[in-house]
Amino acid sequence: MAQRSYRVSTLYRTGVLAWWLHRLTGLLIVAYLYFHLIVLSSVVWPGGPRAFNRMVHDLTTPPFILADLALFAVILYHALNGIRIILMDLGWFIGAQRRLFWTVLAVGGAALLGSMVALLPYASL
Amino acid sequence: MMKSTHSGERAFWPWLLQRVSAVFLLVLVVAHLWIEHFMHLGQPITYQSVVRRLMRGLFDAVDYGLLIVVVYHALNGVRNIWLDRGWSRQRLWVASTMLWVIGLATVVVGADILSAFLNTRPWFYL
Amino acid sequence: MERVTLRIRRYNPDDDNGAYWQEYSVDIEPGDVVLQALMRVREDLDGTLAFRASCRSGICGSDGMVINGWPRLACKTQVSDVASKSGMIQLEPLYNLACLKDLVVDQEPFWTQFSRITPWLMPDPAVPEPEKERLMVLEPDAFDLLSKASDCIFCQICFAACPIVGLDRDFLGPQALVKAYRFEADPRDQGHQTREAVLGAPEGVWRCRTTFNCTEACPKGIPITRTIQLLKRALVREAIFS
Repeated sequence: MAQRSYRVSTLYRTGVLAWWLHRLTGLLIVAYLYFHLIVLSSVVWPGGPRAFNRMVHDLTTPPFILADLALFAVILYHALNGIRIILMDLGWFIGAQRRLFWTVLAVGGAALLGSMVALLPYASL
Repeated sequence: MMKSTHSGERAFWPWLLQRVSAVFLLVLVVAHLWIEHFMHLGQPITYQSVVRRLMRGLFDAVDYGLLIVVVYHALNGVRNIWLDRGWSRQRLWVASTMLWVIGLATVVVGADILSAFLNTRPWFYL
Repeated sequence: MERVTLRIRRYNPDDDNGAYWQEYSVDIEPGDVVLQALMRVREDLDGTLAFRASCRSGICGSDGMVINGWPRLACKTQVSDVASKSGMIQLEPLYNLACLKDLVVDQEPFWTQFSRITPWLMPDPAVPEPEKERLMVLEPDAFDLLSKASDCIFCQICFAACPIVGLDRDFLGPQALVKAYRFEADPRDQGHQTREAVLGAPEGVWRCRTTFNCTEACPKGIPITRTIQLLKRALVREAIFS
């Protein structure tokens, strides 16, 4: 008569956090992918290019530019942690997996800041 | 010595292809962002201007390639999440078949949209 | 002499209370391990408390439990390392396994997965049975990893730490994979064909998501994730080059 309510392991250490964030960012990117395709599909709507131009105009307003930055952060994490996974699959840095994860966050953060500085001159858009 | 049932092959290929497609994506996404967004920073974006600057060399290969690879990687990733949820083999088979249908439809519609930019007119209107 | 409070998740299938927390205050000596404190509770305070223990020295692998939210061996965990400032230590049965009573879990799922990888040496039938012993010849580096994989004491701590085991009850789990490597890496073993069918299946080695919980929890310091990665690479090489 074993108890039904055993506890499932939800022990959040570095590696689990990395895995979980990879899933979360992956889902966000899939959602964006379909949003992206729906926006672009305006060119094959009856209204055609005019609908596209109107939509692009709406999507280059400040709230969407901020959302673009958030999207960039999400993609950066997914890409860099993906590289981390592949490196470990090749047998590299397995003993340094924690440091590798913090490196991913540091490189991602630096790339995000760098691109924000680089894009600042165009912020008036 | 017992004969191998080779049940492993089905689990191996999605695992490996997820990594191979990831490597392709690293190159293709950077190329896509560069071509579509950074090469003409600051210029107004209209359908006509986008068409004009995409009508060049390998740009269409990058985008058609990206479309196929990204849809595979994305939907196989969704399947990976279902695997992690511990779905049964039968349920996973149904879900995978569904993902293949969705994936093929996405590639067809996506290629249609791309043709509107890269070949000046789409294959069909929605 | 100091006092600590053990906060223990109790459960008795024979009464209808369900699971509940109970606290016990016990005296400890410097250098005491958690198991020592637990035995003092059972001897002096509450004979109904159930937990497993045998050798008391980290060899039998019986007293794996969740101590302050992380699976450890009670006999290898110093009270001074885990007690909070107020002298509190929280004890739960291992995760991912059903609780039978107090700190005792149903080990069935663990052993089922272990038995699936045919965990014994399958010699080449063409080689005649040796008179004395079957010698293993391995480079020192290769032997080092095989020997680490054989250090496993079946304590089920990696099984309890793995988040994938918790989500997917069919996953072989870290321990079965490490044991599979122990035989796969043995040059006397010819069981690869049999084992490959299990390791390469959807519930096999590909389900590992390299979260490293197993490696970080293993009380014997076995590099579990590294070993699983070696199995993956061997299967990739086999699938592509043969």
